[in-house]
Amino acid sequence: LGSEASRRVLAQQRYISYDALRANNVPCSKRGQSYYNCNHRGRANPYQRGCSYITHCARYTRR
Amino acid sequence: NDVNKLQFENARLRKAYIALQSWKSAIFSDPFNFTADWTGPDVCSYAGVFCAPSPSDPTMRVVAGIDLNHADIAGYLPPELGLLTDLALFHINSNRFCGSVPLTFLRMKLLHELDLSNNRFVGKFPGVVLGLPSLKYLDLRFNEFEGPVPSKLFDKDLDAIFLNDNRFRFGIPENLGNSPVSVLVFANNNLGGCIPGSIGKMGKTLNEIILMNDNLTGCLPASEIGHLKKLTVFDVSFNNLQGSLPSTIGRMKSLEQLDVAHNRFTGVIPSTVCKLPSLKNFTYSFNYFIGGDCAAGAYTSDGGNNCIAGKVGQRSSRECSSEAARPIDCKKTKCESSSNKSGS
Repeated sequence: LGSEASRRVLAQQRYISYDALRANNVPCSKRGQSYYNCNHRGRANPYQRGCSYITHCARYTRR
Repeated sequence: NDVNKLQFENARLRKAYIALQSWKSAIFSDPFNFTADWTGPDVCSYAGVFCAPSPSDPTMRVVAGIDLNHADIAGYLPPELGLLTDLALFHINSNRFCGSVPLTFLRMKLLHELDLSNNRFVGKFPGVVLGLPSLKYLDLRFNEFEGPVPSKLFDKDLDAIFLNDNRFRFGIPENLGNSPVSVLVFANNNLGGCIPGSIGKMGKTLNEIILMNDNLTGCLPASEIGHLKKLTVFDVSFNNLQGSLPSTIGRMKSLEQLDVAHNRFTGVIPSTVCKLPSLKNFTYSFNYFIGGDCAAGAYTSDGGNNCIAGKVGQRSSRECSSEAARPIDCKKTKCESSSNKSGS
């Protein structure tokens, strides 16, 4: 596995449901950005959303 | 700081100014000085306030988001926040806001994400969220909401519901299965009652569900949970669930995380469970299983503290011959309905 591939494997092992059991966790650490558009670059636009199911988008977009 | 003496780009931003100044007055402690720059008419430059072109009139900038996650602010939500009618998101995770959610939030017709998690909100479930037409993401976890969860919540077209770590009681509403959510976390409440059979209707959308530590009783709805083909996380640990593990779990082909630990399950672990193609973790410790221990697959498993002969780290023979270890007939057990449980 290359580093990119192994990073993706690790990312896939995160679950938004288990993350929710920790009080401080949020699905997107980019302030002002929709939780459904966290991998968007540039200025945060709350009206822009990249995905419809948080379980799908959160798996690949956090941090 | 008279609002009448200030110049604003447009009337919406003037209203937003009134809302944000009211909110600033309702803040008792702001240790990181987050709201220190909340002065003057340029509300779009305020920390945590995000403007964007209005969807109905792209020539006009409006306040589209409030994001004060991790600001540790103490205060409450004043009714004037209802003036922020263009809000698409309201994120205030990990602050110290107390009290309840003002009814004026009903004016936020575009609100898509409401994250009030890890605050000090109290009282009944905030019914105002049921009237938000665009809401998809509702996060109320780590507060002190109490009483019943309204059944109308599951009739709403939501994508995510987080209610864990509150004081909700009186069972999971029977219409759970109407909900099209992809994720539902209900952990660490004191719900009681059974898992509604309607859960089987969530097969097309549900990906993750955690019902951990909810004082749940009864058996798993065997034929119904077999329909949950898209489920990756199924966690019912730390409850009082009984009966055997249904072989229908083997039909949940996407399952990656299966946790049934700390219940009162009996019988043999079905071989269908051991063969789940995507399983990564299987935890079934602290039950009364007597066998069917899967030969180690590609996944990790923890099956300690059961009654499996020949396996290390099991319960004592006294525990395994106790009343709790005796199998029950799930066809004969009746689940208390959530309505008549409230008195107990």
